Amino acid sequence: MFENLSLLFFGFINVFTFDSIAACLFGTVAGVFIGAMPGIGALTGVSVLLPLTFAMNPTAAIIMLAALYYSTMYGGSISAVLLNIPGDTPAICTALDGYKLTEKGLPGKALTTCFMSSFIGGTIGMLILTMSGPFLAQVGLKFGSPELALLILLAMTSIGWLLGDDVICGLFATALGLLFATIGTDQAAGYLRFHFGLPNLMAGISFVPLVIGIFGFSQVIELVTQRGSGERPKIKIKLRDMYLSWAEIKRLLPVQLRSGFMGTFVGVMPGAGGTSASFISYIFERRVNKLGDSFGTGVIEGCAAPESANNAAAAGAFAPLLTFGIPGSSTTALLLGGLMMWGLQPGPLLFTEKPEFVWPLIASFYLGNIICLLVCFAAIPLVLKAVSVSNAVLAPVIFAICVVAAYTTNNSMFDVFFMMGTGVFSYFLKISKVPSAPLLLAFVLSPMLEKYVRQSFDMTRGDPSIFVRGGICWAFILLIFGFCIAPVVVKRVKALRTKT
Amino acid sequence: MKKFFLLSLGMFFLCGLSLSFAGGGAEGGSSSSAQGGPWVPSKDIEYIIPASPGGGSDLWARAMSNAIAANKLSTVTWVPTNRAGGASAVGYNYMLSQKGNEHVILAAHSGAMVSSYVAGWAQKFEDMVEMICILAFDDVTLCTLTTGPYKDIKSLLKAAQDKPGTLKFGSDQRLNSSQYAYEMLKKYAKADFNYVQYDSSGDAATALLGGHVDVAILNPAECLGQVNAGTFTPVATFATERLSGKFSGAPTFAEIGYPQIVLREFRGISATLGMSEGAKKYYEEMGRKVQQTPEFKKYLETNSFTPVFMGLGESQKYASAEMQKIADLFKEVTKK
Repeated sequence: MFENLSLLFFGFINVFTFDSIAACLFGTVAGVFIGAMPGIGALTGVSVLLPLTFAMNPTAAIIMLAALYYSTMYGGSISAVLLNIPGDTPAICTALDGYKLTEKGLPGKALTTCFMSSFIGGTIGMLILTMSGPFLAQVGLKFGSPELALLILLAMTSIGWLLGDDVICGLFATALGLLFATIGTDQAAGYLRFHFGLPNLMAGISFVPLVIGIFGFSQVIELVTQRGSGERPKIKIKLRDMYLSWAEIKRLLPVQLRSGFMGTFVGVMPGAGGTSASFISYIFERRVNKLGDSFGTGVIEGCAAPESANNAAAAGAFAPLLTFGIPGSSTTALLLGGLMMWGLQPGPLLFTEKPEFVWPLIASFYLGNIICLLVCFAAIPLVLKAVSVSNAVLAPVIFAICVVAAYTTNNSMFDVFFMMGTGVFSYFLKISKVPSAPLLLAFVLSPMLEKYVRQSFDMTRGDPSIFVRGGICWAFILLIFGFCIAPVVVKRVKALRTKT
Repeated sequence: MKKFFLLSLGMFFLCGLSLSFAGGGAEGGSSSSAQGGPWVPSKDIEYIIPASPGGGSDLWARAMSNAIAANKLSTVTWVPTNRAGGASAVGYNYMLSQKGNEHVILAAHSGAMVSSYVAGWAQKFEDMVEMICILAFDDVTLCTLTTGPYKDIKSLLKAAQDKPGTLKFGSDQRLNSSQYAYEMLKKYAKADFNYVQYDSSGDAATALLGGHVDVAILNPAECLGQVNAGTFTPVATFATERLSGKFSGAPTFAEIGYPQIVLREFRGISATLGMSEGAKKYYEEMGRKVQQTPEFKKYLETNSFTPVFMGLGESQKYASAEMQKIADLFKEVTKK
């Protein structure tokens, strides 16, 4: 462990070169911007910049791309908080409380919370990565398909309290999400489901156009139809409001620490990235936090948990990448491709054979994280202006963003039309008081659940005993039962107490 | 100030919008060259990648277009464009929609062609594109954990024959070359594994590393790091000859008595249907030239590809014959 510290120090010495710092700075600024643009996430950003890096030295190149990757986690929260359009999938949970805070007139506070949590979460992830990256990656490998299936199931228990006031409406939305998720190529046998002969549907519904439709375009419709009477409440935004009080910082710190640790571990697991990490820490926080019941109504803890977790997960995802050369997410898979193009062979030997590459990279994470925080804080006054703009201007701007974002996902007009269709559909859902959060959660999580469950059955030819094959499985099963039963038990106990 | 800010924001997005449309929608008139001379492109060539960024086909197309640019082989740029979705179906359908457009080509990989035959596509690949050339074989190997119980192919096959339905065979998606390899093992070697489908070969390698599967089917590039480090042992190759380097210890199936078990994935270039002979000749020649550039040679080497050259006509014939063989075996399997 102390050896690692000295190696990290060596890395820091190497990272303070003009090339590396310039690469890091460019990566973070671009990442914050790309993250804030809905529809364009880390994956697109890295793939666009990858060809530009071939002329650079490999260390500077990966520093830039890695900086871009984790700084999109910062940027994603900006549009989630201000416009209720998550910039990227890990920011969905952030939008739940973040936008409510904006409606309350506290967008600055929400953003400050997000950035601070991102910073703390990221730092925790990096510290853990530095100290015990290879060990963690080893632990992550213990998670096979049955364990991952139970992990996703645990995340799905959160749907229960997202249902809203009307349980039937909530369940309806969940069912819709499940149905949407079944479209496309079947995860286990490769056969096509409900694609109606359209090649664009053969891979299923793309997530980005769906989210943009549900959050962005339906909002455009709402803005346009409100006309005059429904002008956004004029909020006077004072810069003073963006600062957190000392008491608030104290309230947030345990949340950020818990989520940071949890996020790192989820990030290390194969196949589970920032999105699962933010969902899981959000539901966990809702269960353990004193203010848990007011999550979803606009509390800063609701922003802190997912943001801290997704940044920690971004750092954690580097553990298996650097230790074994296996990617934990699609973006790290792309980085892996980059490594090979620069002539580095990712694999178990990377740490020992190329310390001059690995340690400056890890050192650059710390540097990049600080740059991110500064860039974001500097950007707050600027982005806050977007909130105080009138609908007449806001609606066309959001509309343009929606169209561009939907198009750039797959370079396809189909996605643009699909996005608009979803927008209209979800506008009707909205006026019928059907919540959209359960729909999205079911849509994101159920394909993963299906995949892992069917892989598990593949392994044993249908014998379900594989789901109780070890300690990790049992721990997850107990947690799932705990999460489901706890509210009932707590209610009973409280009722008993008031009686006596 | 506020207005200016928003205005510039709006302008920015509109610029982005028009740019992306210009990129996607600029299809021009036909572009034959000066009278009599050989066909040359008159504008940038759209090099379609029917897969997401970062995958094998993506790296292939980008390596090729970089090599072309670095050696100034072409006066125009080959612009790699990802059209992912539907296990390559979206990319192939795009090619079909661009019938006759001589400035659109596709990064061809045998995996997608298999899908077009067996995964319920409306058309086979020959009805959507024409093969221009095959430039490399991407050979497939079986790997086990070095610390695991199966050190060579014989003990692995024996275990699968003795205890059918217990050994786990980590693989990428079904209805693809990997399943063909699996079915061949079942048919000819009577080895009955449990096929475990992962999203990609990378995930299958991860599962093997964690000991969740007993054997994984991988391309050399996907396991080179692990093989170099000694964590994975390549136990057999589906190629016709042994591979080079660290993989030379792995026998072919012919060596252990199953000459029918052969599978070679291949990569190359495909063109839209209805392209003029001149244009096809041009792309064939470019394929031949790019294969000889130092950049592309290095790319082939790092990925352990075996270079090969099959030109117009020959490549199409080879691909169709291979696919027919695969489709026949799948038909046999589904009948049961």
